[in-house]
Amino acid sequence: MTNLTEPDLTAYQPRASVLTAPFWEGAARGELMIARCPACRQWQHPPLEKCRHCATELVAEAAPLEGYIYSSTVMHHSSVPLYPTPYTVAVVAVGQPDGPRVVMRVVDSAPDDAWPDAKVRIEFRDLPGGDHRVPVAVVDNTRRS
Amino acid sequence: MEIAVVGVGRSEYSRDRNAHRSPLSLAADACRAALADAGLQASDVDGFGSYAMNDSATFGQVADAIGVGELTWNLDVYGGGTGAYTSVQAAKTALEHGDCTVAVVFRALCGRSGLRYSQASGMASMLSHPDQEFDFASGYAIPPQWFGMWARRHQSQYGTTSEDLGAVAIQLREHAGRNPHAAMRAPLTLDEYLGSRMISEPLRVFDCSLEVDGSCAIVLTTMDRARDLKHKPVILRGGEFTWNSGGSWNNWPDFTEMFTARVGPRLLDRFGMSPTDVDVACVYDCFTYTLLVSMEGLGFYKPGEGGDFFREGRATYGGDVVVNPHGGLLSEGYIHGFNHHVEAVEQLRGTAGERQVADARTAVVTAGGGPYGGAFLYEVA
Repeated sequence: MTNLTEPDLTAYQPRASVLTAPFWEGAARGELMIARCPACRQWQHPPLEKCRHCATELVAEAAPLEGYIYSSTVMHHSSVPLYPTPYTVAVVAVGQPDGPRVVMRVVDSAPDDAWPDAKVRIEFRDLPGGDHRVPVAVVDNTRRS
Repeated sequence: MEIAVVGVGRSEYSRDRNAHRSPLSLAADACRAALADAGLQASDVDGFGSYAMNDSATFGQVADAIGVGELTWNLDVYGGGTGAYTSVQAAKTALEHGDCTVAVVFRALCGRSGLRYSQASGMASMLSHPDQEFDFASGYAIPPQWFGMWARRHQSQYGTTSEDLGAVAIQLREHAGRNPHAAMRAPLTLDEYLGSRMISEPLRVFDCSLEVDGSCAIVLTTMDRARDLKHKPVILRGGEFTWNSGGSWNNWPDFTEMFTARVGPRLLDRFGMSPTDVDVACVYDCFTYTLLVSMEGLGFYKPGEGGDFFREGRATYGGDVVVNPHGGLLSEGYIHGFNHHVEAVEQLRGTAGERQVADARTAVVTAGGGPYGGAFLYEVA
């Protein structure tokens, strides 16, 4: 019997395509796989088949597991049943402040630390409602001077 | 050739979740009202257009429902608030080129009782962003999160406060108090604003658009024809558009800007105007943040100075410019920005009733939020 109190999380599960499968398969083994141009070295996320700059076929590559919060927001509204509220979501610039941007939850961090320009480590957590794992950001207070 | 708006119409704007009428019924009400306002018949109409993102009715369904015959121009745009620019700009061009002679443009939605932007389930069925697969897995799914994300970057860079955002919400609610069509009219105090439910920081519930079921429509024709009609025509002088988005909601260059940083200067330069020449500004306000920063781009104040501008009464009657005299999407209701056209026209032809801006001759209407959108200049004939 269906438990009516269980939220339906189907909409939040990736439907991995040829383009996006490397990202999700990488997340499962603890790697942040982002499409990159083998010729001009530009990153591209969300992935495309070909480079926007030089039209070379892109290849997913393991990106550094660190970055910078470009911005963040703390979600309080109950309309997204995937994670208990409040939770923090950030746009993280991977590797360097102008690196490729990936949306991640910020976990195991004080909300007040999860502000623009904070340095973060990238880890992985289970995605509720299925078998996937997702990247998350942890504010790296050890780097503060 | 000059193009004018000669009629405006609206359905009832309803907050009742149980009183679901279809977007088609609402659109038919609004389009009939707009034609009656213009003194035109359905048989005069040969162009019909709309835009949509959540539930809607197509141009053809609505034209048929109100008894329009053959059309020689049509448009259905899929997308966000920018559609309030794209659809009207396309109608203007079609009229200039003689592709049609009388065009009706509308927006209709059951934004309260149907597909709601505030619900992830609603958004999942509306979006087709390439980011969606990644964003949803991190619980990043509804518009207040996007605009909250952008607002926090602005806070970090310019020290923008909750009080600054609240000043916008309070001013627009005060304006809505004079508007019989507005869905929320009771005054809002700063304490009520600050005490209101947090949605996605820094945005509270009163920073968000008011979800309603409703529709509004405008009728456009050439100036030659407009002169013989019922109301004083309002000239749609022209518009400017920008797309500069980086292909996704997350990759556009600077979250602290709005599209108006590009189209504002272009629009005013084109018509030899400065911000002080604008009498009425109907600024797209899906969130308080959108409006606060769109006004920066239009040149009304420098980045970070918007809170003071609103608190000092410069955005209302007797100030520099009257911003959203109808109460905007925040207090009149979310008709996806199309109600801004209706308000600009009512103000310039002098039919805005209790909320009439004295001697209003020019109005700017913006449509869109974030990296892309457009802005129009309307002027009294």
